[in-house]
Amino acid sequence: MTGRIFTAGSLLGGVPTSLFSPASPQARSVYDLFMLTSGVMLAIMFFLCAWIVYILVHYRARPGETEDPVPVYGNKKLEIIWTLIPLAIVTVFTILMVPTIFKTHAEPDGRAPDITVIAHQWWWEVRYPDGVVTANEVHLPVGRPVLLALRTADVIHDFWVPRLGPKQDMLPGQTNYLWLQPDHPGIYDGTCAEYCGTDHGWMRIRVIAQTQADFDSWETAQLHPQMPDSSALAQEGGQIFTRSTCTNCHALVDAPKVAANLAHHVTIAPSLNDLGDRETLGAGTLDNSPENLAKWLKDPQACKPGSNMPDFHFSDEEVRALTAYLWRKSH
Amino acid sequence: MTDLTLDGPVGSDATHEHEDGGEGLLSWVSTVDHKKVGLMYIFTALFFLVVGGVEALLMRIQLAVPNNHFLSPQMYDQLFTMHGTTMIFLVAMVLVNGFGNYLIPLMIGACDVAFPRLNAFGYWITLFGGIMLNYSFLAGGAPSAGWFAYAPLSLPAYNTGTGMDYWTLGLLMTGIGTVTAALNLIVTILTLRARGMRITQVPLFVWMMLITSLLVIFALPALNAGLVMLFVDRRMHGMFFGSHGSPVLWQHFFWIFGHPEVYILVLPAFGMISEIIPVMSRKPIFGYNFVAASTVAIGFLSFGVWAHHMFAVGLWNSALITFGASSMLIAVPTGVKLFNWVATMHGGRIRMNTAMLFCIGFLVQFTFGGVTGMTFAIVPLDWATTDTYFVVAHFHYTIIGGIVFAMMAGAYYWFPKMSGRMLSERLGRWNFWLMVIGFNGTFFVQHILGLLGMPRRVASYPNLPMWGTLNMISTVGAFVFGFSVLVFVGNVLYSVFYGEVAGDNPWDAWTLEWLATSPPAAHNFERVPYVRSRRPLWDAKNPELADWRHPEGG
Ligand code: HEC
Ligand SMILES: [Cu+2]
Repeated sequence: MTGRIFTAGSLLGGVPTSLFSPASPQARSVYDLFMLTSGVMLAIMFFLCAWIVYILVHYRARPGETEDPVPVYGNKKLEIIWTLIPLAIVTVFTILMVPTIFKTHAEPDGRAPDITVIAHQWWWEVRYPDGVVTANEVHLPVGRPVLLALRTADVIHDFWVPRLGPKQDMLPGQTNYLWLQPDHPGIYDGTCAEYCGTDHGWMRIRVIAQTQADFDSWETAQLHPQMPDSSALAQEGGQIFTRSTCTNCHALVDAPKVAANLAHHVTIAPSLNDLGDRETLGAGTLDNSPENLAKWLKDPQACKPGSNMPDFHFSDEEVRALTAYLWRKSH
Repeated sequence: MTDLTLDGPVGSDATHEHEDGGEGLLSWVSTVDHKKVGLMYIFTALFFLVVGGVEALLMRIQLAVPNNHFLSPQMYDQLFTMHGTTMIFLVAMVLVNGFGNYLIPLMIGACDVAFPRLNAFGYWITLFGGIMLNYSFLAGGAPSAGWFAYAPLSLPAYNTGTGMDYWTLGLLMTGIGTVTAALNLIVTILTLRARGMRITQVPLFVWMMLITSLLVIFALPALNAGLVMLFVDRRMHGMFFGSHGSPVLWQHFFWIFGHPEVYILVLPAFGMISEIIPVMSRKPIFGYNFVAASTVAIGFLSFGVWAHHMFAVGLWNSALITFGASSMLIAVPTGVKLFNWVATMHGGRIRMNTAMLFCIGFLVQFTFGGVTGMTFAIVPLDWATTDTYFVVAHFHYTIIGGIVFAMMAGAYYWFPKMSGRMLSERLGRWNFWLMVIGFNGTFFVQHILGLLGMPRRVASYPNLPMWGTLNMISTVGAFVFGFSVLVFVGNVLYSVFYGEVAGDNPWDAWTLEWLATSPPAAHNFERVPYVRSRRPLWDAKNPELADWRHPEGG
């Protein structure tokens, strides 16, 4: 978890997905509303408990008290009071709720999205207008609101990065929008939040917020993906890669090409360009490293049972070659 | 309508052919007696409670530590789907039907429900639906799309195998059973009340069951229609909910059933609380009319809030605001009820027995569930907390902390009537405190987990700070809770044979069921008095202070 930026503070705020450490204006306005309404609700809860405790102290039947009290049937005035009080509270809550909805859920108003995220069972495809396609992490610049278009390739999923604000479902045949506006550069953890089948729990996402300059250089690097190592091992890995059916599902550029073509590659599975740049493999299942990449290639089903990446039963030799071929870093 | 009833046993004649069918298994299988049908519903619910409970414990073992491999994700998905479906449709609904069937005719001074044969049919088809649903485990895999079965995940493209088909057909059958039971209870309440008993004088449990049954009549058809469409989609390539249809449409169908369903389950619990608190506090219910009217308000509102289950699907802001506000409004009539219950206790002479303890547990825990529920009505907070463990914690507070605790209170309160013997108070204390500790231990920490970003319905989770510890606490709590259920079952088994003999009216209660013998005779009553108020037995015992003498008491 190196490089993570925590809002220092409470224990609860120290968890990387904690709602108690909001890191964007959207998340903060939700957090403020949450704290306010929770305070009111807890006060009501406290009042009720105190009343019950008082009653239990004062009105328990004592031994020998067999007579029933004289019946009391009700009190209209009280009824009106305790109808009006909750009504007043929910009215205030409604009034407070409306601006927060507009703040966190602004309509895109025809603006073209900055990034398109397409959910798949059980990984994320991330596309940029200039043709960069990556997976499972969303790089974006800080300092301005970034508009995400959210779609799905199969079932319903939900994009959720708790410290950056609301979650948003991704539905077949529909595009939903979400604004992301991290305050500071950093890595923000998230996850798919709508049950989507076997590996729903391992469909994690990361938002990597960068300064505009860092973001620009990242994007440029992605437009010119690294070429494979010239070592014999990597060459052999390249042959295994072409021989196996990897390219039926994965996009991987292994000769310098026009950047714009990147977008047209198949996207049944994560793009493998600059794979070494990613933080995790299998949408958060493994930390990314050459060793874990080898582990994944050796038996993806053992790493992420149920995932849509088949097990090719490679020998250790083949795995080593493939790893050498695939492990490319742009920096 | 009351002039249809006689002074004495009233109700349909159909029972009398069967009532002396002897003991033995056959007498149960062939019975159309509302009490036996009621008890069969209750036993069935207890059986499925154990099934659903074991499913829950298996899940909690899997979640006890991060990155666990105790269960495969496929198995986990089947278990949580079956756990939810079982607990809602085969435990809670069935318990409601059981108590309703058993108690309503007794409470209104009738000798059976209006349509006894239909009643038996309702039970058997519900049981058959339950068996069919669970048979899926043997038939190649249980359903695994979650208890609300969102399309397209529930369609064959993403859900091969027959589990989902058993799910749709099984639920359709229990759905038919539930609708027949509801119709039956409505007619019973409207037509078979004792002489003199006005509809505004029925015990509040009866009143709430009436509203619940009306909700069933309007809500269940949406589910049943949805289930038929889902089945057509799955087996006949219909195009209702798939990518050529609308996945959101399924959500509308499901939740326009699903939200009223919450109230279908909770109103009977409210009804029980409204019976038990007054008797144990020795005071009439405070504000009968307000408690009754707020039930009607909840009934109406419950049909106007379903979209709060769908705030994240991308509705327009206008819809978000409307449904957010309408959802919040439900807090008003619910709050009115809470205040009236506590006001009933205020100034009473409270008997702190197990039934009352469970009522108090209900009051506190249900309120907490209601308080956290506001989070899902306030739209931006819903976006933060929905589909996390926070919502899991919230609805378990309302369903277990609320409904189950009320049903436990009901069990301790009416067991003497059903069996003729009292449940052991000593075991009852153990039962209560273990349940409080187990329940809160399991679910309180889940609020925190949700706020720390843990999504629901995950078969395993990464080792983030605090997640492991909180989940371990939750798992330990679940086992304590499971143990408390065993204590209850033990108490029932022990007390049926060795419990103190109850007599007809052990609590000195005021409604008509306590006039019958314990357990009641096959035809319920020898004679039913002319009813002049809401508390006929109080009137008989305290003629000077009779309720009907008081302008607000009648
Ligand atoms: C049937 C389609 C398919 C084929 C063929 C396939 N993969 Fe995959 N692969 C996937 C899917 C789907 C994932 C994403 C798994 C997940 O995270 O759930 C994946 C993930 C991966 C990943 C991890 C990427 C990341 O960023 O997490 C690597 C590396 C990989 N595949 C390499 C290969 C290689 C090498 C081959 C050929 C030997 C291959 N795949 C063949 C579908 C396929
Ligand atoms: Cu998903």
